[in-house]
Amino acid sequence: MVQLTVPQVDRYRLDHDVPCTLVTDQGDATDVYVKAYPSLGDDFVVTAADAPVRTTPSVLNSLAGALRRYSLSTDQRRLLCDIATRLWWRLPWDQVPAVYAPARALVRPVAYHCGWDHPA
Amino acid sequence: MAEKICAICGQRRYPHEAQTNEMVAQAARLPGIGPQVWRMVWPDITASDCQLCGNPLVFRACRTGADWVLTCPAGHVARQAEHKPGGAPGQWSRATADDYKREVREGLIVPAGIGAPFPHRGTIRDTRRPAGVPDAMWSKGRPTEWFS
Repeated sequence: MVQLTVPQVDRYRLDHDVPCTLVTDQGDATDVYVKAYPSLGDDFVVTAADAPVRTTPSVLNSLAGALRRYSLSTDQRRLLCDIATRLWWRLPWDQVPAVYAPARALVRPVAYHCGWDHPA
Repeated sequence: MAEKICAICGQRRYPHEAQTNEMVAQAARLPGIGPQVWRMVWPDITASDCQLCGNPLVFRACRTGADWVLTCPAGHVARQAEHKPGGAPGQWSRATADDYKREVREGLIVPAGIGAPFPHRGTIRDTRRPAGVPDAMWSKGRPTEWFS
């Protein structure tokens, strides 16, 4: 009995005939699904057309850029700042500089303070 | 991976992506700015209605399938995205040999070369060489299903 498997982004692509965008800072789909598992070796690569990548900084920068044209209510701003802060926390430190000032302004200052000043 | 809480100030230093995904979907439902949330994931999207049936598209966070989908009430998927922040492992789904063949045919995955084993994570390998398969091709232990 043999059970074959495929990377989940490939599964979703096959199921819906729509590429599955990968929002990640871990490289591309091959890095996430193949190279992260050394036992797989370099068996195959997942092509970019199958799983185009959006990095977290690009997501945050797009959001911040778009929101500058809107007047947000307090509740709306709170929700969007919470999202930005949660995304920022999972961002590798070496990619923090790729987050531009308008997007950094969405991240709660207390998170910056904690991230830089409090030992992990 | 468990959420890490800062012992000094109580900040959630490792917020779980499942809740973040839900919050993004919540933001996508905010009147007026919803499509801006779509475009942070798919910056090239311009349509707000399904190209197949004309119904309005809705951004959803899902527990099964892709994390985020842009779909209409009829179930047509216009866009989909998987969220893998730092530390989130890649996961694998069940497939058949036909799936592999289709992926290779459509250029979705590119095998590393002749003789390389096909992906088999979680696979129980059958080491018996199928009839008609040259020994040289079987030396790497390809799953028999591939040849069926």
